[in-house]
Amino acid sequence: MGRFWSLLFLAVPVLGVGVFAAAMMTDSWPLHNHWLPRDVSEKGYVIDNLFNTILYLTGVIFVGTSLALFWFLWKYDGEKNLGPVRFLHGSHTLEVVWSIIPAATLLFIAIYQMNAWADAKIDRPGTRLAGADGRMNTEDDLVEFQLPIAQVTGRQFEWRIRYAGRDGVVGTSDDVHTVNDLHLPVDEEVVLQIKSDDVLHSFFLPNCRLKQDVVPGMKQMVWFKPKEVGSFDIVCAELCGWGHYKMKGRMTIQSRKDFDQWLTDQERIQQESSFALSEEE
Amino acid sequence: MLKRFWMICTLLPLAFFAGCSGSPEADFVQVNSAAVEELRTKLASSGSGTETDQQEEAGPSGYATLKGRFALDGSPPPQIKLDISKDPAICAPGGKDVFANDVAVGPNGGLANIVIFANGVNEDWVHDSAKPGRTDEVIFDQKECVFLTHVVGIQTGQPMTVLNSDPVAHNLKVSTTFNQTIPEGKSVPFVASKELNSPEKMSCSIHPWMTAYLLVRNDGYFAVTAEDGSFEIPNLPAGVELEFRVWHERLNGIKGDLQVNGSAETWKKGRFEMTLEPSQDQELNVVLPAAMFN
Amino acid sequence: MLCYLQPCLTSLGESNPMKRLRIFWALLSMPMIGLVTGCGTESPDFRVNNVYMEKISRELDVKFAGQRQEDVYTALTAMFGTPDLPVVTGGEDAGVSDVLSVENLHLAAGPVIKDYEAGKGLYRQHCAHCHGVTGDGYGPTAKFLNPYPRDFRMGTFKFKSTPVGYRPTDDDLTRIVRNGINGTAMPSFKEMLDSGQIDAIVDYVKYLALRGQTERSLISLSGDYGYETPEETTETQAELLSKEVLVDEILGAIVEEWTSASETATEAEGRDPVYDFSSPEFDQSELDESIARGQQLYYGAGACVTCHGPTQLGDGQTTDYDNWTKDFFGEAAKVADAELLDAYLTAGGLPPRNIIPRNLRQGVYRGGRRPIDIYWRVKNGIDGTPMPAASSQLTDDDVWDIVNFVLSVPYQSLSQPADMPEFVRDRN
Repeated sequence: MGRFWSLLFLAVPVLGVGVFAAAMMTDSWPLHNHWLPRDVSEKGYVIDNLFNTILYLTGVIFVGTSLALFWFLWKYDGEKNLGPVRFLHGSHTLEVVWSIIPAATLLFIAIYQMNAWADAKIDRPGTRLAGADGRMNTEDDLVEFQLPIAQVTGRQFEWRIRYAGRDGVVGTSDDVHTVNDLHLPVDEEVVLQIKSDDVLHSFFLPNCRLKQDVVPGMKQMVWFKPKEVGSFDIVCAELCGWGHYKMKGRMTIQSRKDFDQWLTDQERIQQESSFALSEEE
Repeated sequence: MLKRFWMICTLLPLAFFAGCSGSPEADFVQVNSAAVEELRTKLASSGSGTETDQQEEAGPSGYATLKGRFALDGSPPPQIKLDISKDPAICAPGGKDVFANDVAVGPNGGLANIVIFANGVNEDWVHDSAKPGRTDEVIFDQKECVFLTHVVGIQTGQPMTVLNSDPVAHNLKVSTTFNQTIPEGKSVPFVASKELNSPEKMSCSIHPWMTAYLLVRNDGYFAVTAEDGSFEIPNLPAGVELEFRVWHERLNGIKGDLQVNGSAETWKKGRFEMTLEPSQDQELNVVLPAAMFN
Repeated sequence: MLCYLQPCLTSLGESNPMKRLRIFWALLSMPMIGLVTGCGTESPDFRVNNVYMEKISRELDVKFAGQRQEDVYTALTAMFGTPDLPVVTGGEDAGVSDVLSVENLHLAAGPVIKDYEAGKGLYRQHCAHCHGVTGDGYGPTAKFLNPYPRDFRMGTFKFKSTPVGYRPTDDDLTRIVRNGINGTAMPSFKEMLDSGQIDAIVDYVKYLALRGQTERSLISLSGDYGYETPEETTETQAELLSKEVLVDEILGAIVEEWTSASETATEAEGRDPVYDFSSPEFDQSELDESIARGQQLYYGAGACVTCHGPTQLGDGQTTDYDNWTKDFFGEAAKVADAELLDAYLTAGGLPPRNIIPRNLRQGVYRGGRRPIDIYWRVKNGIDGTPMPAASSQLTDDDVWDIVNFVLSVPYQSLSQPADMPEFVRDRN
């Protein structure tokens, strides 16, 4: 029996790496749609790179530890090693090494991701204006933030979307309301204001590499620049209740012209005020 | 240790099955699937189902009037005081008490607002004076947040004008079929299209304690007792058995032991059968024991 | 499960290993038997309308038990089948094909099939947990929702184009399923289901309404019949369980209400385009005047103020109940009657809640926010609720003024302080 267990442990890294590699390379059953979805956001690759870097890093460590575990199990199998047990009372060098390497790795990740984080969460698109000193790129520069194109409100269990309308401001009487149906213009930086009506939800656009928890009582901004036209999912990535699965929306990215046309159509539908019975067939 | 083992042994399955206890048994009825199949075949068969020999019933031998009086034997039940939660200045001027008046006892114990009507009278037997299509207008007014007619009977298609003589807006909600605002001092028309087998409640959503009842019949064979408990239904088909239904707001169908024309009788489900003598007034004097209203 | 077993197995360490094994299997099999025979596998059945039977038994002094109850539900099962196999027997004679398609029913009915065979069991997958398998608004989550999910069995629906007392049109029901009801737990199914599936759901809702209405008619009619002697029972069954009564009389009348629904929708010529900011004829000063007139009507002839309150907060008349509650109690005041309330709850009614007039300042419109939606609400009232139709003395222009006023309320300074700062992150 003895070495059978070590082979079992060897199977873990082999299968683990195998599944990942198969998912990355094939797109067929049963691994269909199991790798990253198509990236349609201009800065999506930054998140993907971050993801891949961390995946490879952890992958190497995972394989290394798994192999080491296997090797120990194999080499020191109780049935083959009948001699007395030898004890080791600590190795200062080893402890320093296995503390410094992970610390350095974590520090590397922390520094490496800073731009990605800033781009995605802090540097809200806007126009920089000269401050009181009248010069650009100084300490007191002001930023005129780009206004959100729409407000997305998560509620149990749907996304209520409210476009800024003609005046460009969300919260006025000319807003255009839709539900679960988000249209956006392609190749333009878009800002969305997201909030929640009831519980924690998470606004997730897998194809835009954007995911942000929405917290009741907080208004938050998210931004990205779609680069491809098409129709993509909006999902909720935070278990929000028994109808969590129902929070499925559709994001349609289209050309500016189509988008404007669509928005005008929505506006017209929303102003519908007449109703006639259909003629007798 | 063993004790704990047995405890766990009993608790585990118990906890497991506890999860199953959904709705109580009474929420479901077991039906016999053979009976269901049999009935289904019957319903799916073409034609108008079971061909029963419709015996041509003999028509009425004439017409007669039913008149009489409903009275209460004993002391009237205590009145229910209403909670005037809105517009007290108009609905209860001077802070007076307003009562439901659902058991309205008049002189000599006469019971008002009892509905009596002949049910299921063959359309061919209906006297001309009671045929559908009455056009005289019924006025239904309200003042001080009280419907002035507590029980109103109309025929289908007969116009009713709902007045509001109050300086506040009311609305008239007729059970599930009509609900309209009546601005202060204005009126709205109302026409009922569907016959009812018992009076339907009318209310005002703005002043929810306001209550009245509406009976809609195709033919004119109905009456609402007056203040002294008297009523009269003229031109009823005589010589044939008629089913009468009797209704009172607090009792729904009037049922139980009571006295009819001096002799004890028992009515079931608020109805009784009667055959009238042609061209002759028939008396129906009913005395209800006060205990019925408790 | 095994973690639970661990201590008791080790505690028996000393005893005979065979006995240990037996106990192990006994313990393991108990939950397994439960799993196989227990809650998960039984096919759900329609729940009986105990509340309505209680009401009728009080009115007519009859008992709904034994043969009387069995006959009602034999007839109902024969006519409408089971949740797994819905039918409308005798439907051709009653003209039910004008109301719904039986193929659609089979798409929506039945148990939920695995994801990749989606498109079956739609109702039970998406609707039943709130509206219940029976469509009685008594699904497992119903108790926790406010407002309660709709009970379809009265055939009454709130947000529709037809007047009070009439059935909704297909378009009305489809609109609700597609867009959801903002401000309630009813979500939008626009992206979840395709239009064919939504049609199937709508048909199934109508099926449940037809069934529920038939159930009510049957119960109240059954109360008129006697079951006291065997002869009486036979006679009753011959009469009640006949095609004339079940199909021609009961189902026919109910189906007729539904087929005529689409003709009864309230038409509207539309409001003057000067009020519509998206129209080239838009005129702000005209709109302002209309809003001012609407405000006058709100406090005056419209009588809106009595319920929606002087500041439109929905705090006027708040002590009333909706028709689904009043159906049993008769009137709002009787809900306080402890004996009646107890009977209602015992029969399986949800604890009654007051119906609260809408707070018009929130800008949340349950039945839709298009001017035509608000027009229907004002013009027709809201079925099943205390909301009355506008007086017939108000002209269409008056109603549009009220609509314009209602649509403007959420943007008045009372609702939105003028200078609310935009959200800006401090950390930058």
